[in-house]
Amino acid sequence: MFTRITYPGPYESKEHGFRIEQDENSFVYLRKSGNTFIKKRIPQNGTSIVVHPVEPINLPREVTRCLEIVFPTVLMAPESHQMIFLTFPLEFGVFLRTEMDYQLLDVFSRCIPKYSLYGTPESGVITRYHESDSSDQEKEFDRTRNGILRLEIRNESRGWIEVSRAVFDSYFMPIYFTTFAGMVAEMKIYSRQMAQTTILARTFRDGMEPALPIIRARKIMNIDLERKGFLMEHGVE
Amino acid sequence: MAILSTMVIGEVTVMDLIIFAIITGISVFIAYVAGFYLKRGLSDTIRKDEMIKIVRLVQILLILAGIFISLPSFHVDFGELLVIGGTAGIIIGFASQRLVTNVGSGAFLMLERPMRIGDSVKIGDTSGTVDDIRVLSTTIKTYEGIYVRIPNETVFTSEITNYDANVARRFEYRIPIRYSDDADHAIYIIGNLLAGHPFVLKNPQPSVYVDELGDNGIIIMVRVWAPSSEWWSVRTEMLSKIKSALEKEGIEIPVPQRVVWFAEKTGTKEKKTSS
Repeated sequence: MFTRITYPGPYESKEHGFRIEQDENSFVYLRKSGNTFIKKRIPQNGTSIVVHPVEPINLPREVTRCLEIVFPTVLMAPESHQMIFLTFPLEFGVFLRTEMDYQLLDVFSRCIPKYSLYGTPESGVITRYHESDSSDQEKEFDRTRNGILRLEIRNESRGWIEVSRAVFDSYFMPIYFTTFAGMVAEMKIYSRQMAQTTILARTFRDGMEPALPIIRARKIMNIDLERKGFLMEHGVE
Repeated sequence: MAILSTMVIGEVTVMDLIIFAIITGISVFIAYVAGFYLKRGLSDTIRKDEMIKIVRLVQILLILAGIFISLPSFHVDFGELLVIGGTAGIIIGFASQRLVTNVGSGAFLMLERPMRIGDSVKIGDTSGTVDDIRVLSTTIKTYEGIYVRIPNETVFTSEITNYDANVARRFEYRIPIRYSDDADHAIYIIGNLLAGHPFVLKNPQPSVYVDELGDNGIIIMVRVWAPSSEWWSVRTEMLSKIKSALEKEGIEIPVPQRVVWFAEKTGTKEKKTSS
């Protein structure tokens, strides 16, 4: 599902529906899916082409940097914590790698994207919307459509809280993969109206490989985005 | 070489003028180069309007620094300069009140930020996209592609409608169907179509309902929220899709109908005509 292809050279991926063809002295990347037809002439100085899971906010075009996952309500006792497993929508990124750098060629997904508004039109944010089941242990899921997210919810307030949504900032969204994609996150709840979510730079399981990020803010800005996270100011239910 | 030491204005020689021109020229060149590299470096990391402000600020500071460095060649006494500058400022201020008003309005607009470069706005009677917000004026590119320059004083005192200030906005359709059609089925079809479009927001949910029993048919109201950046494309796309989907299910848009009664000798007879 996530692959590395030696380049330059022709290649065809039946699983993902793209191919690389030689056109005289250069190569062309081609993908056809429904009404979408992508054709890109690519340079020969790459060393490989890789298919990795990427931040799921790119399709059909990027309008937000936030991912919102809505799940069945979890009731949290005061000052308690609980681990749950959720799914997140999977988007595949095709990258051309060189020795020094990498460049995104294409993004595709088997999920139908949907967007939503978290908060009000004046002060809220547009989010990539995803509905997920929740469970307290790993369950089977469609690995071609979804990744798995381990979320540790910490209720730091002194009241009972019902939680049914989490919003994450994709500017720091390290995804790891083997035969499936996984993320680890935490959510600190301060009140019914306020919580902070953070995707952690930790592997979901030992031996997983970090995916190439599309958003390179952390590389450019050198800010501790993991600590910053996303502040949910419009409620958690 | 005697020409270089020739006095031009007061104690200022030709040489002083050349030094001033060279230093100022170099500072303008450095400002230009710095602007180019800043634009190149920042274009992928920050918004365009913020990038333009940063670039301009850096360029102005560099040019001012060049002028400041070159001023000693004019043998300028800064104390005198301040007095002269202050007096000149008052005179110029009185002479160019409109200009100063525009500058002040521009400063307040930059502080208040009712719009940003790239926003879709309506200022007074002018609608379009904000092209630039300058010290004296704001330029708008209308939807027809026409360049409009509005003095900042006018902008500041006009009603400004910013269509992109909020992240989401709502639009609506009024869709008439015939009385003989199943309104519930039409609502179901439209609801399904909306649910399948990525940019029809899940929350706030779209609402589809019978709004009115009109003269010619049932009016179905469709209200949809979409991201502000996408609403126009969603609006145009969905209207066409709704029409096609309804027609595919045999639900049609009604034509205007009137029932006309003709009086006869022995009473009346109903005759229905349609046009």
